[in-house]
Amino acid sequence: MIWAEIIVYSVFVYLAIGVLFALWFVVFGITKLDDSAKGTSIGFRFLIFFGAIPFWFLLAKRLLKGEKRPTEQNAHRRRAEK
Amino acid sequence: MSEKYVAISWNRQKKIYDALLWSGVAVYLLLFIGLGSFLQPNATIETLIIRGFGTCAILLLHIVLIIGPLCRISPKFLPLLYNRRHLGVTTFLIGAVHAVFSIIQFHALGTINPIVSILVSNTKFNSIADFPFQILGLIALIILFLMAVTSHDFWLNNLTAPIWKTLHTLVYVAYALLIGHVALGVLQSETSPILAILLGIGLVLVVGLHLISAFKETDLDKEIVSVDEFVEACTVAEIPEKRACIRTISGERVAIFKYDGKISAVSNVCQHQNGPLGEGKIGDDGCITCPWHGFQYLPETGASPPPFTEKVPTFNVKIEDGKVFVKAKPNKAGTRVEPAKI
Repeated sequence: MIWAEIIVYSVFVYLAIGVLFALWFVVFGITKLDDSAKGTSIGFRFLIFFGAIPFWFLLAKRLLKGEKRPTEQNAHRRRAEK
Repeated sequence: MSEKYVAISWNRQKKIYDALLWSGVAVYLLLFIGLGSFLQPNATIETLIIRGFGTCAILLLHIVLIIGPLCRISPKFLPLLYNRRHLGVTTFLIGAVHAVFSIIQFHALGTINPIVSILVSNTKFNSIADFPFQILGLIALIILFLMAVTSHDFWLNNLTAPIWKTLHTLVYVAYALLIGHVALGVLQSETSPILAILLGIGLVLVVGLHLISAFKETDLDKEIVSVDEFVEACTVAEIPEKRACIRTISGERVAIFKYDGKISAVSNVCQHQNGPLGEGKIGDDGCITCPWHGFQYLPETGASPPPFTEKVPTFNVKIEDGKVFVKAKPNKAGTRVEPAKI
């Protein structure tokens, strides 16, 4: 049972950090990451809040690296750039 | 289309879609629980809720999974695809109700944490009849949760496309886990074969339609020799007016549109979720409209009309003897190209 408790409580701790991060992120951090989030509604930020909880680590990493919204690459985009 | 995010960009079509979806769910649950309480008077309301929401969730997941291949087989099904994300979120919410009631009923009355209880209360992994099927359901629900909370376009843009797509491809893992959850769970105690037959039909539909659609698209992915010169792609006559002929050039599909006596070619891949632009059409506004979510591009420039900022690569085209030639090397996304005159 100990292994199960370690897994479950580790996830709880990760998610608890995620809740705190998500609260900060949807109010302040989101516009640093994506310009299209500037001036968005409470409803939009409420929806984003729930995703920011499990993915807080990835968002924090992108914010710390100063990364902006990327454009997806595919064979045509790559070849056009050559 | 991008510019400023909104919570949900409602329009008439989405409202009708959601109204039909939620009223369908409500009717199913009312019928299931109502008839269940009549046909199985010994079943408690909690049990009927668990069964009703569980069967509803797996039914919705089947619909979610067959919409994609159905649309590739016939464009008639595209209206189902338009708001599929709401269908997916609804599937998670219905599954979550099933899970919450199941946890309360079977795991909340002990002294250990209910989630820990799911993991340790049954460890007969080598038994079919007593397999700990609830763990399969729990993992599937976590996947559906992660998909539901990242269904907004913000997440596609900011998780980066490879992570977002990998995450959303996990729906097939969730589906396999749920088939196991049902087969090793409720089917082990079910005396009637009806549920097993329905589950089998669902599985055959999901697998069969995916195979048929993959087979149908095999020809589209045959690569035309990709040097940087012009390559023969199709004839003018092959392209329906205001629509496209799709060919694979330079490692990806190209959509070659015919409209108003002109031919233009753009990359087939919509900047939003990689929708198939070549399966869309050119409307009265002169824009190519992606059939998946309505993103628009001008055929001459591959750019969305202002104020939107999406762009796709364009291709130089020429016509000789009724044949359309496309230059294999794409232009940078949003580059204006003079259409070939027919």
